[in-house]
Amino acid sequence: MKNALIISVVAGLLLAAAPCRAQRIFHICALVGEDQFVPAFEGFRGKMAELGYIEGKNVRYSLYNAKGDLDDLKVLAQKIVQQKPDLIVTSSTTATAPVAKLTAGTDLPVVFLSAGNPLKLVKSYSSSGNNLTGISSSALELTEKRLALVRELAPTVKRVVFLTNGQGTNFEEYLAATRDTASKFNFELTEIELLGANRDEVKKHIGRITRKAGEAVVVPPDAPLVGSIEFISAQAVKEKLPSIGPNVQTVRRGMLAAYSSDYHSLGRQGAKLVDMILRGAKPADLPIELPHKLELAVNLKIARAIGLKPAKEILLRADELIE
Amino acid sequence: MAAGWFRWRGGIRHRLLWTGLLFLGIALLANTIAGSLYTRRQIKRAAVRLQAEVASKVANHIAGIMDRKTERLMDLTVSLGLYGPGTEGQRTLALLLVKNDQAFTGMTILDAQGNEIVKVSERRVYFPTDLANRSTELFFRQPMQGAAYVSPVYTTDKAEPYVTMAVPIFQGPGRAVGVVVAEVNLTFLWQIIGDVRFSESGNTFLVDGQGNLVAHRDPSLVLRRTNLRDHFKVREFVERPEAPDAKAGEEGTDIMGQRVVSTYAPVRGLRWAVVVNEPVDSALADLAAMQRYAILLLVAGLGVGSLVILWVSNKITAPIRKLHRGVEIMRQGGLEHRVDIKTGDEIEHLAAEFNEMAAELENSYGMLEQRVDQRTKDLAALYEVTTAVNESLELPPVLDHVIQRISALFDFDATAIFLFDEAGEEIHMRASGGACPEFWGQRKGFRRGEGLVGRVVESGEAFVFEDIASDRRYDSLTRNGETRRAGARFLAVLPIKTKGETVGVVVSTCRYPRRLTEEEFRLLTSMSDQIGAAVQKAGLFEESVSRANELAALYDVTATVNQSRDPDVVLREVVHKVLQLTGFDAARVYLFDSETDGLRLKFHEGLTPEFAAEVVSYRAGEGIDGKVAASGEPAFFYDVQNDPLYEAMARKGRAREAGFRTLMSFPLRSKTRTLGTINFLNRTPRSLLARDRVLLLSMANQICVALENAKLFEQTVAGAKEISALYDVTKTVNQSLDLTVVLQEVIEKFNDIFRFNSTRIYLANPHSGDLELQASYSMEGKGSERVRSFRRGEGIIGKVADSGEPIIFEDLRTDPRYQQLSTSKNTRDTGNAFLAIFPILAKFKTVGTILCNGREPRRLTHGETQLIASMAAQIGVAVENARLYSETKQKTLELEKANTEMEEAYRAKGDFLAAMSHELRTPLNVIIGNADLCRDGFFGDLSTKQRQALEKILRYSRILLKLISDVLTLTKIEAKKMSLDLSTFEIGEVIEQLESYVEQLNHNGRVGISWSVPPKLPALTTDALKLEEILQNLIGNAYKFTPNGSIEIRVRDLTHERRVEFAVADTGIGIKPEDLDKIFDEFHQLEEAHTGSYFGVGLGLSIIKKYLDLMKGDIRVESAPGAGSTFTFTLPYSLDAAALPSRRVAAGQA
Repeated sequence: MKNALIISVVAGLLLAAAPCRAQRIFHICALVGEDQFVPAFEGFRGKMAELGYIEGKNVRYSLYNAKGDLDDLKVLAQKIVQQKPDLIVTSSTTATAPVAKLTAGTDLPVVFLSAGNPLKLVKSYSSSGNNLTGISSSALELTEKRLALVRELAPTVKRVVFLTNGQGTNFEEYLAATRDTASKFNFELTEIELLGANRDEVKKHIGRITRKAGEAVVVPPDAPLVGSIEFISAQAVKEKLPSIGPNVQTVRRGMLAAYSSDYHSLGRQGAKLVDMILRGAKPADLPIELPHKLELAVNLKIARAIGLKPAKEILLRADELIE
Repeated sequence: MAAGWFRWRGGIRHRLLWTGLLFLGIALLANTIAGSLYTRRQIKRAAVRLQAEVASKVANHIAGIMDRKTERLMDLTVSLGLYGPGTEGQRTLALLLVKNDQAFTGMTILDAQGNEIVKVSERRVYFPTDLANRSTELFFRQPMQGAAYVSPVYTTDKAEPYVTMAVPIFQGPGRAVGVVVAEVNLTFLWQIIGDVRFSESGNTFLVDGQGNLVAHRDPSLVLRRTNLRDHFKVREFVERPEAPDAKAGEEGTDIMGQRVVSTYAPVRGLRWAVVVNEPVDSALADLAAMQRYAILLLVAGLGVGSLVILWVSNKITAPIRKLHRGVEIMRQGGLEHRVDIKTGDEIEHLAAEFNEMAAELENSYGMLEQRVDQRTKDLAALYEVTTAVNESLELPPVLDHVIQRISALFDFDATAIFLFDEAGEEIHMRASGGACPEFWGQRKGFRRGEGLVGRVVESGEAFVFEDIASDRRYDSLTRNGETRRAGARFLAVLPIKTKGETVGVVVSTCRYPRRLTEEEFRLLTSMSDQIGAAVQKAGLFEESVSRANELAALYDVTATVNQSRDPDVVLREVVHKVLQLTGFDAARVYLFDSETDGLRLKFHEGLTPEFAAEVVSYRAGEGIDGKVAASGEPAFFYDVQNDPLYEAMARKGRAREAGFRTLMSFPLRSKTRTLGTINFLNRTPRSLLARDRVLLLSMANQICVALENAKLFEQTVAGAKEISALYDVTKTVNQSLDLTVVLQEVIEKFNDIFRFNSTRIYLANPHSGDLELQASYSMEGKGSERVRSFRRGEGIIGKVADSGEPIIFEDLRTDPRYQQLSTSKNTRDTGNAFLAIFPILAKFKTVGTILCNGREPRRLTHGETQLIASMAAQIGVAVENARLYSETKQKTLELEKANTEMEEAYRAKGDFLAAMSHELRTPLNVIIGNADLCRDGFFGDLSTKQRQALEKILRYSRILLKLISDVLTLTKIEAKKMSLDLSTFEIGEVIEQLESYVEQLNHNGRVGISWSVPPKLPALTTDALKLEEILQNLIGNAYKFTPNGSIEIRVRDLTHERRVEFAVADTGIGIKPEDLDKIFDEFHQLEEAHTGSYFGVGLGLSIIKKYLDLMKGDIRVESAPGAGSTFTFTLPYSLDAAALPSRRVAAGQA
């Protein structure tokens, strides 16, 4: 009788004291290598909001932009890691590499939103084997497609200028893939190395891109090069050279054409991974994802400026035509 | 309810409560269970229905989407017909479809022969060289027959799931002219599956025909290529892929081990299935809530029921509790308490009975208290008596105390205690108390059966007379009615018993009649028992004291026996002690006399000298002691004055004449024999108690031990003397090899021991065999040496020498053998009575004799005979040693001479070889030097043939020089002129030298040379040049015997052994097993060397071996013909400087 009473009182008290946990605010630091990657972060932030992460309520973002300067990038990476955030979001392979190095061996999750060559950062697509996971932008994979665009847009071109940056994170891989593909297309490749890790350095050497050097220009996805894309496209126009950019954003900034994933979409895709990690999943358990969508963009203004008339088949396939 | 296996704890209220609750609980529980079961069935049915609907709907949706994908491809084929095969138009159409439908990631158009004519991809570029023929593939063959094709699910290196979809391109009805093949990325299905929300924790997923996960809310599971065949529903589907789920909503365990309710629905035409999965807890959540309510109701019902039962039971049990309280009060001593219950029923009746019982109890308690008081007093008195008995071992104070307590407790006028005397015949008064001491004064003792007291003693029964004036029993039992005459009316006589035996009585009287209650009688009996205990204790104490005295005496005797070796002292001590202890007047000890073979008086005490002189000896079997000694049985005579047996046994009856009454005789027996007898005599007759008998026997045994000890001691002393003597002789024999000295010393020692008048030693002459006198000794100072030699077989000495057996004449004056054997009678004529001659034996041959003479006849004991024989044997050893020493000395002289000659010859040979080698080397060096200059063109140009000839000269000259050097080296070593030049150096330095040597040697690169020298090797302290020479020699050999192949030089640090190992391994011709043992011998060469294939004289390895011996190294070789050879040697880190006398160490000292 007495025991029964005690049990019911205790049970009542337990029910009354229902859990009322204080809501946690996650701190997420984002590091982008260059302005072009900002849309990836925007897409990420938008999708996060859709998934219930409201800024100021349960999430706080700190965005750092290296503006194409590799030295700044390293400093910012250090600064971010010192803050000990709950999670770090990065843009490209270039921006991810210093963060990966600084967080190696820790539990701090790092999610890259658009790594051109994820295998530089992780063990395999199915499992990173470390504290990293993210979305592949397939940039390296699309090297063939970039050269194919030269052939499709300007079928008479035989010599192609390929810009490189010796300090770029994926320099060797891009160069090897481009050389390989160029030989398949029977292109004579002129490699021009624009030394330097920032815009000023690129600008200094831009005069080397001439009609004499080649009949078309291909720019690989390298942060300092993309950061200086305006100079490159201006020089290409000056020399009347068809120019192929590393991503669709560069077409908007003056390149003739590009075939790539859309950074905004990649950011949204990455938000889902971040959500899973914040719910307790380990990065090593989350496979590297491929972009859901690839886009073709053609700048008709530029085409005209250089006296080029793109084939109608290309125009039919283009997702974005800039006129 | 109160069954045997279960007993209620608590009162009626508890019983009512628990019984009521039990029945109520069962009823409520049954109702709850029945309700739950029904509801559960309903809820589960609904959950299953829902799962089946969802699964089926999703499966249909997916089937529909896949159908649309096929339709899109079909549409494409129609458009493709507008363009020529493989044209840019077809390519553009394909690319557009890939662009517009994200599910299609690649597209291929095959012509009627299966050739790829257009191939596009979302990510790749295909070149003409990438196109192939696919006519054998199923995705070509099946569409060519008119049907669409969908492949099983597969994954790429990016871990995403794909299917290949193919449709025919028709040109006219039923005429397929090609096929469109598309790669379909199935990740779009993830969205569809992810959107299916099924309860809070349920999930939905899509699997293919192998159980591989195709789509899941968590894409990572798909990307990791998870196989779910272990899921019970997936397994069911994989086994029957086309069939619908026959057991929808089945419960089972998923791959995470969680209990789930699961249902699947096959996707039409694709061999895929949609599986809906929900944890049991979640699926049956409503049931759990319902069960909680039911339990709450159950608890509430039980609560209300309990209150009702409690109220009813309180009403019933209140008067019972009142009764219970009454009992509690009484239990605590309130016997006056009464209960007041007015219920008008059985309980009121019970209360009345309870009150009556309480009243009776109160009454009984009062009586009991009185009795307890009385009993306590009695027990206190008894306790006091018992304490008195336990506190004292002296009887009189205890008895007085008991009488005092009896008189005080029972109010008797007089009490007395009678106890048996020592003989147990009469009882005497030992204590009395109370009035009329004069009355007790008359009553001192009773015999058994005499009067009332005697009767009680005899029967052990107590008699109590309340009034002897009227009690007829008293008249019949009393002897003379003294008690009554003394004016007593009450009389009690109680026996005192110990271990069931009556040892006395307690008598109490009173002047007036009185009654003895049963308790009083019991108390009196207990007190008399306590007296019995006191009597027993006193007796035991007395006995213990006496026993202790005896043991002390025995101890003294034993101590005396152990401390003294003198039997006389022991006898005196023992006999004195025994007489003191037992109180006997006299004792005498007879011992066997070996001479007379009879008993002889050894010791006596308490006897007059005259009496002792009369009984000084007995022959065996004569008289009492003779008979006791012969039979080994003791004899006892209580009174010899009138004992007929004594008369019969005694020889003359001297003891009787001397006035002794008691006589006893005990045999003195050792373990094996009777040594004698001991007598005890007393002037008054006295009996022999068993205790005394044991004591006397113990004493007799102690005497025996003492006698045996004395004898053993004597024997041991004699034995030790003999051994010591033998030792002296043996020592003398071994100390010197000079026979004359030895014999003289031995003969003196011999005489010290045996004290013969004269002793002489004769030894056989090795050439003539005659026995010649070698040593003599005489007590008189001069030897009787008239006869200095005997022929073998001549006289007694000659006979002993011949036979090897000793001859002894104890008294030659009377011994007829002497007359017979002696030819000269010389010994007798010189006044000797004793003669003994012993042979001296060596290696079983008689080499001499020893002769002993005595003026008096003498008998040698067995021990003496043996000792003389042993000493004679030692003399034999001395003779043999002397002979061997002489022989050895001779041979040693001969050997020394031969050795000196040999050494001289050897030295001459060494000197010759050294000189010759030196002389040969000088001209040879000149030859080599000039030939070298010649070859180098110093003396003008040379023709090819001249140069070849000079090369040969140089080569063979160098071989010759090496041979001469080796011979010289070996000569030096053997002449012990080789020395070590010690220094501490790094092994690397030696290796450097060797490398240059090897470079020269192998200048034409005939063999491959490899070096295995670790970088950090310890420094060595040894002869560096010799080490280099050894290695050069080994490498040179390896090079010589390796026509082609390789040579490896290895160095290894053996840290634990503090040594360094060097090895030279080649892949040359190798060595035959039979040669391996001989290769280190001088001038040994392999067979191949003899055939002329290889040069050398076979000294190199011999020198190496000798060098290594000097340097404390060791060498081994492993080889097989055709498999090459490996020579391995080790050297210590440092040649121990302490062990070497100087830095330059001579070969002979190493």
